Amino acid sequence: MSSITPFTIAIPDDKIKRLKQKLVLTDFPDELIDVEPWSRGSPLSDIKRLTLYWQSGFDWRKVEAKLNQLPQYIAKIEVDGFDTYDVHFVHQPSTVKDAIPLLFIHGWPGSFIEVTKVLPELIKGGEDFPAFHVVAPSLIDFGFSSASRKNGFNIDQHAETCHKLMLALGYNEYVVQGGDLGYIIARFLALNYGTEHVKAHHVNTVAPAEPSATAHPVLYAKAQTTPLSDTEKAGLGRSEWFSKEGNGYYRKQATKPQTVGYFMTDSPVGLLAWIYEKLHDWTDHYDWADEEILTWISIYYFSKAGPAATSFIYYEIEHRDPQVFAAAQVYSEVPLGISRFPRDLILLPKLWNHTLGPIVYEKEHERGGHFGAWERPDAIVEDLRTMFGKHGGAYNVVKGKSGFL
Amino acid sequence: MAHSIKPFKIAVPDSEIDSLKSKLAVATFPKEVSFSNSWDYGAPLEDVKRLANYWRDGFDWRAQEAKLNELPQFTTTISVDGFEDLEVHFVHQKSKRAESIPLLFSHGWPGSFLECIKILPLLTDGDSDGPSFHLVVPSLPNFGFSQGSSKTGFGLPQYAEVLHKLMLQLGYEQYVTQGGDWGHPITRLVGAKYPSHCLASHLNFVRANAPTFTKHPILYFQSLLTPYTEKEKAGLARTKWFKNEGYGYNLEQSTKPSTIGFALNDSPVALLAWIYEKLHDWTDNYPWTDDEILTWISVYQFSTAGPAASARIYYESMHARQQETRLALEYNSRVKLGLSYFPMDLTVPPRTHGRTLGPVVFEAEHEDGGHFAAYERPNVLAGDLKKMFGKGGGAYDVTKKLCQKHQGALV
Repeated sequence: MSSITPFTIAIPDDKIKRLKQKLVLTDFPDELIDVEPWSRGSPLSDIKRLTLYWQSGFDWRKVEAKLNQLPQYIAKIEVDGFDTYDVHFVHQPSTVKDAIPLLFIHGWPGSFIEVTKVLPELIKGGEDFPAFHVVAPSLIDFGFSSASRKNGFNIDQHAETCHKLMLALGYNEYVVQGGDLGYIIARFLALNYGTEHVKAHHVNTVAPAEPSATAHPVLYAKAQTTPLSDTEKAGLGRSEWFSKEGNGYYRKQATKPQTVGYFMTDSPVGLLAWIYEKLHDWTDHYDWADEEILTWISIYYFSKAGPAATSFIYYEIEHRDPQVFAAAQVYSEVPLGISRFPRDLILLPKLWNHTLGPIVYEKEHERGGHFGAWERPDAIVEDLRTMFGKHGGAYNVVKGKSGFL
Repeated sequence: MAHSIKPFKIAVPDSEIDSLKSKLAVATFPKEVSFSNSWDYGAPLEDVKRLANYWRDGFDWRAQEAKLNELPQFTTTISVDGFEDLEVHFVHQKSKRAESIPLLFSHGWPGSFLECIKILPLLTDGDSDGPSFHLVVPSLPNFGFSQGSSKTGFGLPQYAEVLHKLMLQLGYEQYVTQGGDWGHPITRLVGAKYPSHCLASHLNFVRANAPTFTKHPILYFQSLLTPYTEKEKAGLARTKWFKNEGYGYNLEQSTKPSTIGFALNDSPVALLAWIYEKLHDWTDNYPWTDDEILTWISVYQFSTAGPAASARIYYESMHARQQETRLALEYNSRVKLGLSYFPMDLTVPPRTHGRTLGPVVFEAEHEDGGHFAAYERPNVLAGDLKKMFGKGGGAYDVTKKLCQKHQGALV
């Protein structure tokens, strides 16, 4: 049985002091004089500005206090073949008694913070649209959850952790929302714990297999004869860009995470540049405030397991047999909802999504990128309300917890 | 217009050494986990900690600097078309024998000019039998004690131009080349661009495409009909390992060199781990001493262009001047080619692939050795060069041609 205790983020003073000491000592590289901004990575002027702000203007205590307005807890969760871990999570039940239990899973380089904007809206409702009880954990090795400490802690284990968390909270049946790593974990939850426990899942990033003539003959035939839309063509272009120009972080983290860990731990500016590049490249012209950027990155810098640990899941994903993305592509009966944003990273032909399971909701948005809940909280909230609404494909999937009064 | 050639001695300012030690004194290491010391996951924690502590407290850079300064070093200004003039650092050792082959030796990443230190006496010893060489070993622009350009687009053809012009400035109108890692495509482009000057090239790192029916029909059928040898099968497996497990540094530096540059410039521990991983993975059980490791890495730490600049060649190689860069993989009939295959190198293609690069007049497959052949197997590499250019060797005609004239260098 797991125990649950309230939690407040309280980074020790000396950690904050140490960060500032390191920031003061930062040595900046030069930059090519005619470089097109962002073409070769994070721009020098941005990084200088952010470093200076992180060191002298950014107020972690103020940010910490704001984060602590979210109701946070620690649950002790035992993972088969591994250890018992402290799982940090946000838990905000709705005042609507029969609200739908919703597990919200972050990815990289995000964190539990990504639930912040959608949370106040999702707990509302009951009359015209459904309300949700929201649970948003820090994945093991991220945020304020424990370190995994052992190799082999893979997506399977992350899914098991999240599932056991929901059970510990008394949510025997629940729905899942996820993107990035949260997408793969959502799929594993559907495959491993659906349809009994996981009643529906909604994803804002998706990586289906191409329909094959043998495995999906009808879909294959349809895909062969359906021309791609303009947005699908653009999506393929975006996917190609990502795989050619934006995948270096993945290749290094997925093969030598320990090597990456050294700079993430020892160089705040190194960690800043590594993550900031993605906050820019992966979003749809999102107007990041400096405080936002440094809050996201501070959660990595101050994380319980240390920033180096956040790469380990990449190694495990890459070395799993069978391969993780392939495993996540297996058809699941658990109803699926998909929100598609034009500046996401992998945007494949929409017909392919049907290889994953019964699609009960699908929406293509005109604006937004990889961090759906952060850039377009309005869209994510709207999509979930529709998907689980009275006319939605996932209405009342959790029997007796329709989200309505 | 003749640019002067100035003698050079490495003299890293005290302030840089102090700054390094200050940084190392406040180094923070990742938390220990069950696999922290497994090479599968990257540079092991106990090694990196040990090396960082030694770099801070025990390692004597001045002693290593003095050893390096026993190499005859110089700098000169090289003009590069479309870019600014660059101050290029190089080692230049003429053989005791005046009639010797001018040899341009190009290092790569994470190596440096110092890779020549063991092979230099072997190649320039004019007293022994066989051919001898006048050795020129530059620091590539952006590496060691050479400047780098501050403009974008400084691609592999520019590196080749710099090296060629260096040879000309030293009075070597005609010469041969030796290269591994970046030295491979750079010397290949020297041969492609300046075939009347670069008469022969030797490579210890072979990167080549499979023969195609249209381009290399004979080789194509040979490759179809001849089964791979055990060595070739092992080479293909090694190549696959490199692509699957060892390529992350390359993709990151080829796409986001500025991003990783922040880490490499700011954290000596980051630089140490980033490079040390390769010193281990890319060699054939080479028994690196801590002094060797830290000397190699200090050359990056104290480099003229700074450690972040060393990633730029990757980006430009992938993005700049692609049409010209691709010549490195095209058959060049005018430059005689020598290939030495070392089993623990990164790409070890079948011999039919290597022969798509040009007229191969020397070919050797070795039992052991890795990516840094001149450092790991100096006797073997020197032996290969002497065979290739010696009496009865495939490039002996080049030797006769180059040793007939008495080429007076300016130094």
